Amino acid sequence: MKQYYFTDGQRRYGPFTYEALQEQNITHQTLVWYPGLDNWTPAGETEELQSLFAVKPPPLDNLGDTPGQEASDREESESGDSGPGQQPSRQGGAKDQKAPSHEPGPGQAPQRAAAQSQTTGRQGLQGSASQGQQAGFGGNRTAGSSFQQTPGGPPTPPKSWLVESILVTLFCCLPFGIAGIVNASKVESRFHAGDAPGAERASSQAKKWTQTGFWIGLIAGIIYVLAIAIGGGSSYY
Amino acid sequence: MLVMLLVAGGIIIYGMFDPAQTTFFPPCPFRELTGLKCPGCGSQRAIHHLLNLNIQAALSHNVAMVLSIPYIIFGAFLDWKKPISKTWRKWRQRLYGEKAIYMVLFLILSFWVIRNI
Repeated sequence: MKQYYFTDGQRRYGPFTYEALQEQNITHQTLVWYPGLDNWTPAGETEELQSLFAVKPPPLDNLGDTPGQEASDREESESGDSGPGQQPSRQGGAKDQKAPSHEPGPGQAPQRAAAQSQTTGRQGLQGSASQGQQAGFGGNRTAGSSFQQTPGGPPTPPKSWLVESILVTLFCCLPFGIAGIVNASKVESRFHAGDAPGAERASSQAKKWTQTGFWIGLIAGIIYVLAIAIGGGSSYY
Repeated sequence: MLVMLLVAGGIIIYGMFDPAQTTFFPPCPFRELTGLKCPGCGSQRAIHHLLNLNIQAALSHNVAMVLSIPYIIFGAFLDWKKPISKTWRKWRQRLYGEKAIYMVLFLILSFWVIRNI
């Protein structure tokens, strides 16, 4: 599975799978890197990630440029049946416009990230997905089934590892399980505060704790069984 | 894959042998060290009884573990069902959201205290 990274100019986020990257609110200006690129590159300039934007409208500041005709066509086709669900993502587009984007550089990235996280909470993925499909912009390959089934809903938080944490707590290693549960709650709270990268970090923390617990438990169990088998079962229980 | 093998092996072993009467099931290190029960103590015995459909005995060994099984299965189901619909999302929010997680943590910790009193 190919892995992708992106940056807000200060931190590096990732690795993400392509599917996970779709949920990260990547804009045309977001600097991305994946094996095969020489350097951090604005996502809009990569060929490979064009399909990401099939589910997101391009930034509005393209309106004045050469593809302006296309863009205004799209606006018209949207206004035909713009429902309440589409309103938020248009705001998101307006925010993108505020962030200067002529020469995407690391210095501008934080602003962009802020604009992103502001919109993350409100902007239903579905809003932008349907717009992308109406506009027929780019490859429509990804504007597919998974978003389509959730009209108007917010994006799903990253995996919280709650179930695994509870299992680890009950069956082997209480401290690791508790740490996993605490991180699971951070995943949820950060995600709903609009801090998607923070939620992602908490998710990987939770994963680390539960998996460590799981392996320690498994190995300790195996060692115990071996010890009993060799020692002839002198222990009680 | 590994998990599935472990589950399958676990079902056979835990179904056939009672951890209370055999020696090769690992005991709880916390209990060995302190003599107190941890929230997970009795899970192995409870599973043995569950697999033999002896629900009452299972409950007596670890109520929390037995009662949490439906919750765990439903949570695993929601995790597995990735394109999640609006209704399911609402349930996920209610049962596995932030507040619910704190509730779970609180229940586990209070169970830990209560079963040692």
